[in-house]
Amino acid sequence: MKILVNGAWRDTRSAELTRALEELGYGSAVVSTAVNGEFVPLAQRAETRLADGDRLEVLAPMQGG
Amino acid sequence: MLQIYQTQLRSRLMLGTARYPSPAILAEAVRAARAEVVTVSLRRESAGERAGQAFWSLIRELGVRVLPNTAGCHSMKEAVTTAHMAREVFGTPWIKLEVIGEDDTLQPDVFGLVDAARSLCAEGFEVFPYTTEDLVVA
Repeated sequence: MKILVNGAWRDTRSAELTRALEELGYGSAVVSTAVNGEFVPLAQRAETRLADGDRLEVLAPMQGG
Repeated sequence: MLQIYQTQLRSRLMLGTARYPSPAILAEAVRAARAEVVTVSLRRESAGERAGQAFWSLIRELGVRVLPNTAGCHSMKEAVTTAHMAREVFGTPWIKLEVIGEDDTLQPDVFGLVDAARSLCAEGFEVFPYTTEDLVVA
């Protein structure tokens, strides 16, 4: 399955968001997620299913002002 | 003593965290300024680099309050989604709400800002709006 992760196409085998994040290398990272522009809270990641062509945003703390 | 929502602060200084030469100098600056609040942001995280994880560890070690922003958002919808993501990651209801109307000058879109602020306040966020000096908008 191909999904758009932070603007870049990536392949993932898992359709479940939690597992897809692990597969993509975000396993233990402190991140927040959105799928197709909708916020997906941590508690809902395991029940969130991804589909081919979905847009996944993975955001983390960064410097800013 | 400054009171913002229910929080009392001894210092009025809110220190930005961008563009320091190194994390060590950022930490020194926060300590030297005796800042109680630093501003932070959310950006796309690369799985390989994980730059955000190290930054967040540094901020937590400093023991200061954080004020996340919605920098880079151009619509109410984007700003509200980013605010939700920030609340989860940073564990604070505070949000410096930015809805940008014009990229070159970073002028705020005050119409989108007011709509987003209304929505977020209703959800329990404590909003710090990035706005113009227009008192009617404020």
